[in-house]
Amino acid sequence: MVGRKTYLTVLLLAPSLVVIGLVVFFPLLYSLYVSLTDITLRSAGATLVGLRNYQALLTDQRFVAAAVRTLGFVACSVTAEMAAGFGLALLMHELGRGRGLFRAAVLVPWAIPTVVSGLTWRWMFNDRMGAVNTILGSVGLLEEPLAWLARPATAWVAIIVAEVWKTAPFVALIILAGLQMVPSELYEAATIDGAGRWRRFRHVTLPLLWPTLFLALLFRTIDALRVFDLVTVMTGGGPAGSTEVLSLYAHKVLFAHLDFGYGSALTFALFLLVMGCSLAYARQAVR
Amino acid sequence: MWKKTTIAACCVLPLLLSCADPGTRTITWAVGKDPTGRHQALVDAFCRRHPGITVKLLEMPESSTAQHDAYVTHLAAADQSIDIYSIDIIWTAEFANAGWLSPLGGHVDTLQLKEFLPGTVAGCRYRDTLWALPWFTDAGLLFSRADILSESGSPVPKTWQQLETAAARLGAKHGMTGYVWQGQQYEGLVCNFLEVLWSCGGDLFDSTGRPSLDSPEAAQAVAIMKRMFDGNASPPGVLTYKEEEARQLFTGGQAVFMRNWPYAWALAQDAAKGSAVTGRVMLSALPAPAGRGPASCLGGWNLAVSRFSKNQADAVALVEHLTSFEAQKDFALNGGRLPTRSAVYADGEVRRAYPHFEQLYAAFRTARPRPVRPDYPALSDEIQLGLHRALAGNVTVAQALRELQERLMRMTSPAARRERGT
Repeated sequence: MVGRKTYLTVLLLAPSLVVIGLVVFFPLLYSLYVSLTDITLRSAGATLVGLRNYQALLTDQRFVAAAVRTLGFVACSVTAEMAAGFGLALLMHELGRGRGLFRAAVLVPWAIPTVVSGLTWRWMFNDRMGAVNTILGSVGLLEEPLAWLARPATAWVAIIVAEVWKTAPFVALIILAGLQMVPSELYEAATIDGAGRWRRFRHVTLPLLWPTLFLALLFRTIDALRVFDLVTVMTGGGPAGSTEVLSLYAHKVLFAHLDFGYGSALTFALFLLVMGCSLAYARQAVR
Repeated sequence: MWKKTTIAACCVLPLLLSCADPGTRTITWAVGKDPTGRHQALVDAFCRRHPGITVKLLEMPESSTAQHDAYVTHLAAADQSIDIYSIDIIWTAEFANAGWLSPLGGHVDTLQLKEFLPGTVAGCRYRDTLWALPWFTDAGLLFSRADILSESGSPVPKTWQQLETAAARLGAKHGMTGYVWQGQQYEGLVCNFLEVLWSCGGDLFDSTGRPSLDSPEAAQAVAIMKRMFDGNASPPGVLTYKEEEARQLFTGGQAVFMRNWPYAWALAQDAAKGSAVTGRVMLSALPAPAGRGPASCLGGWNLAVSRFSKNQADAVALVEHLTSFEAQKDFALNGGRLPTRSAVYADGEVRRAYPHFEQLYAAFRTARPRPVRPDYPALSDEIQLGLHRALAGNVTVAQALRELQERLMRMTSPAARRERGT
């Protein structure tokens, strides 16, 4: 009887396992294989070169710089997204009437394709025609129009602003769900015990919200590590390569340099980075 | 080569059957999304002459980068379903070198090649073999505000020095931007650079094929570009401009001079599309250092036949048709595309419709293709980076060029070439 049940379980799971295998593990293993070869467009067969491509990564300054940049981008943008998302979530949670409308409005940036919002932000940060300079100029914060995307520091500011604008709503929605799962009895009990607003937040909301915050943090970190479209559209990696993130570099190696072996090693390194972050978070979450 | 960097629809939109006649031979033409609305008509004209052939139009994404990635995927898999590819002129060598294209030398009457603009044919040749035919073309031009120039009695700038001075002076006088061009770190920057470099008498490679960015001409060219910023002829924002940023400033009446592709001409004449400068724009060849001739960088698209096509002869016939005089004239008159055949520029009907073709032709006759090499995209990536470092001022011009030269030397060394199979 038990054997038959297991058999049925396996049978029912089989289609999804096959699909997962095809769309997740096959490309992954294939790119791992390619990263161990010197495959190019022309070569009919590939020669295995072992870990040569990975060794090359370590001495590739462009890779190291891109990795450092990517991590910096993740740290800055995810922190800002979490803060902004948390704020928005609390606001939506406290809002009684009109919450539905507000929630829908807040979600708009998330719903717009990144390429479109990236282009919009690119124009907003334009030095002569952009809204950002016009607004900052009219309130007296800027005397001369600033070419935001022409300098590394300001280009990063522009990219992070665009990224936070786009993703804070997503964080807010996840946190809002977490907030709404906190039973109101707990607040009532805490109020009866004499806890004020801050203590209710600190000792009731936050502890119960940790898993949700963690989830949002995990999603956002993974997503930010893979950032590609926003940077491609806004700066293309410029000025002077100062916003070239890992996935952008990998794309250039794959499709401009047509170096499939090395490009695959780059993407696999990025995969390991994402995987490492996920595992670190997962361990933390289990604790 | 002008690519609207708009949304690149990632999926391929097949379809659109024409002259459907079951039982006939079918060939498939992969081509970017049609902004002219003429592709189908060109194909229909072909089908009327070749009743036995059905042509399927396979519409690809509009962005040329997305097209490139899609074609590489198809061709690397030896896909037989596409017979003809429309390719950006900078991919010709890359695709030919990968063994993806059929040589056209045996099929195409070499005599008729003389009827094309020389630069466009040069862009189709790689290793002494013809791999494609030039379909339509593009080249960099100088756009000037004729009203501002005549009001101040200034001539159209013929030298870079004159352009710099006039842009700074007239820009300041009218509270406008002086000279806008394409300075973002991307392919367009390389085109802008090559035009200056060629006008100085330099080139990316010397006659032996060795990179030559350590030449005095290269240093002079970068210095000319950098001086545009230092002398207030161009605002620092130009370092973030692609074609559209420059174009919008210029047609919005906020810039005196602009380097751009010819597409900007039609937009500058169209008040309905927001142009504030209709009838006040003039075209000319780009400047050059005193005593030298101007140079223009070619863009444009070629048509090539896939090595994996099962219908080689039919595919070649369609390529020949699309690049014929009649088809190019139709495409120019009704689609606004710039012909690759000299005779179309001289055609009376075309001249009446487009009087500015005279200036275009003068610049196009001496326009040059970017290096026709399979590793060009990789070299271009490095050049974009190196130039932007020099222009954005992270390092000195001399240091940026020295490092760039070193990288190019390494990338083109025999060992690197062996590794890449070129």
